[in-house]
Amino acid sequence: MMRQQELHLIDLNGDSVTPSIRAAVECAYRWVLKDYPQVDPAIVANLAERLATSMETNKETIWSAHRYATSALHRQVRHWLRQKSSKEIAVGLEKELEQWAGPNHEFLRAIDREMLFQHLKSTLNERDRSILVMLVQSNANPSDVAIALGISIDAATKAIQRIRERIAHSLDAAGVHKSSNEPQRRTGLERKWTY
Amino acid sequence: MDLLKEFFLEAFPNPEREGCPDEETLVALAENRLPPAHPARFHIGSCSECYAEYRGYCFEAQEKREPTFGTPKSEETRLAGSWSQTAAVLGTNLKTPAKAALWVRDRILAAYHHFSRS
Repeated sequence: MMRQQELHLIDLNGDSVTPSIRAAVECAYRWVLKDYPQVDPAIVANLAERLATSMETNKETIWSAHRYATSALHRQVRHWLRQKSSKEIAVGLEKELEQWAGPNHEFLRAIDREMLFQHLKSTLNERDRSILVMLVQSNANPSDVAIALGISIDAATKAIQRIRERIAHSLDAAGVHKSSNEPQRRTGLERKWTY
Repeated sequence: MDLLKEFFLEAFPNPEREGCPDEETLVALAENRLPPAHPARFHIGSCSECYAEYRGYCFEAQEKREPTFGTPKSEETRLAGSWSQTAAVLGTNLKTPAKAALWVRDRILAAYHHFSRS
């Protein structure tokens, strides 16, 4: 397990940020590390430190430090991940273009992912998504879903089955299984939906 | 599953936080204290910001329920130390944590009775 970095949270003058901003940024940092374990903690720490400085500068306009820090740090990490996967380079020669476009699996995966997300958004309705949150977050079974939504176990089982089919359809439509070089991801997903 | 988690974290940006429940509601949802079909359950599947917060509260709720292996013993040792230290500060020299804890408890009860009478 990677150790968490000690955050150095200071304002533009080099003084410590206010305790509420410190607590908010430290909490956001901890949560983001759990959500994005693939990102180097040093990079997240750097983003968190810059965020704390900017929050301290604009503290009058922030109505909830905790909410602001959580969503801003998530957004910054996602932005960093997107930038990492879509390398922007100036190319003039066809050969250079081929070299760049050919082997960049990260970039292709990012496009696949974008397509999949768009497809999922169009096929899953609000209720489907709330069930999916329960399945993703807490490994819920049909009876948990039934209790949470106030429906019968039968209805919950059918709903889960329907979501499973829609996700499988989206995965096929986005071609994730064809180009992804991490087949275990898809297999893991399918195994999870068997009730 | 990671892909679906990322789907919820990315696909529903709501930077203006329109229609978001307050933090207390998200905590209650993470701790499973909300009634069935509460609107917040539906909202977190349509707002990446709230989903991120909800996940954070879930991590914390989970940590409260299942402390990391190794923590209980060290925590017990730390608390045991603090009972003896508390007893020492209050003027006794009981080294056994259990005795120190009992002694501190009795002192607290005595103080409580004293102040509730006056």
